[in-house]
Amino acid sequence: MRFAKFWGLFIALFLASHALLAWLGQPAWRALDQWTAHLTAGSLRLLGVAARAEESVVWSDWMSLRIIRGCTGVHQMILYVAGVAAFPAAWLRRLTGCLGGVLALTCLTQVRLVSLCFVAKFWPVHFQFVHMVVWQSLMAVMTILFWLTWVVAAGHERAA
Amino acid sequence: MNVRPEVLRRRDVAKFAAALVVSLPISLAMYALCIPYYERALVAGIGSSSVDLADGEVVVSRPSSGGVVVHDRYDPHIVLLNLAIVPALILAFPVRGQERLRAVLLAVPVLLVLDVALLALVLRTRWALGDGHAPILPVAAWGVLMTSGQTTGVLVSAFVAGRILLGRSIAAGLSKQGRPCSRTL
Repeated sequence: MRFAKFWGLFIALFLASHALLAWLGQPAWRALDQWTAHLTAGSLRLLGVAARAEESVVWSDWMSLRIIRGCTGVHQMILYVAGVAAFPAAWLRRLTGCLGGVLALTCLTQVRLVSLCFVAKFWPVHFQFVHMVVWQSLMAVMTILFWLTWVVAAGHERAA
Repeated sequence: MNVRPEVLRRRDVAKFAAALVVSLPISLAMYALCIPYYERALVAGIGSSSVDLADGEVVVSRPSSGGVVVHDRYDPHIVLLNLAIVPALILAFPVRGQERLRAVLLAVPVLLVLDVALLALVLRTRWALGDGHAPILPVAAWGVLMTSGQTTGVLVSAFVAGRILLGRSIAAGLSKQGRPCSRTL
């Protein structure tokens, strides 16, 4: 019963978040894409690669990368936040869990995008597989891992 | 690994992370080998002339507002990636061997049915979206579908193994006994 309650709440939050994202529409999606593009260009510059962002496109010496909604990590964030919010813990714990997880997923998304630039430069033949299969799978399992880490941390704090 | 935890512990998560390092590459390799055959079987299973495969991509045909048939191309991994994620997660979850086997046996038919349903949904939703200015439901559905391989991979894994893995953690979280920070839903 408790497990069913958790699941019900999780699914409801997950679907409601997607509905909200759809309702916000193109301007919000574009802002998200552009923000991710600027962040990626900044990350590349940190690694010594000349890069700049124009709207949602990252231009660099190595390749140009168009950022779309699926590249921003927003879908994994929705999954994670729904999981945290549905889990029975104190509200403050859930809030810090959401913020920490979103930050971690943003960093992971940056690792993903920067690494894809490296793959495009040095192993272009494997770009599509790494982009669509390896990194998408990694993003999904890392989302679960971040969530389980939070569940354990929340449990420890409860016990203390 | 052989003792079911009262609640999920730090050690279990560390074991899970370590097991993923092995299970994910194996699962991805198997996925890469099997996916061309599975795609063909799946498209045949849908049995619609509006969905086809070309150069490893799913091609969805739809009539545009001008009456011309438009062919949209999608990478099949957006839907089928759950076949790589679910085995990797189930193999890595810190549960007993028997429970793992039960989870696999439950997950496989669920995935087969789910993938047919998802591809059919991609088709229907693309039609509903048309050339733009679609109502919110298909727009929201499209957002979910475009990452449905990842999402359903996580959800199916959690569904088949989650009760074993998390049931007691959730119960512990819901219990108020001696836990000042806990609250009931």
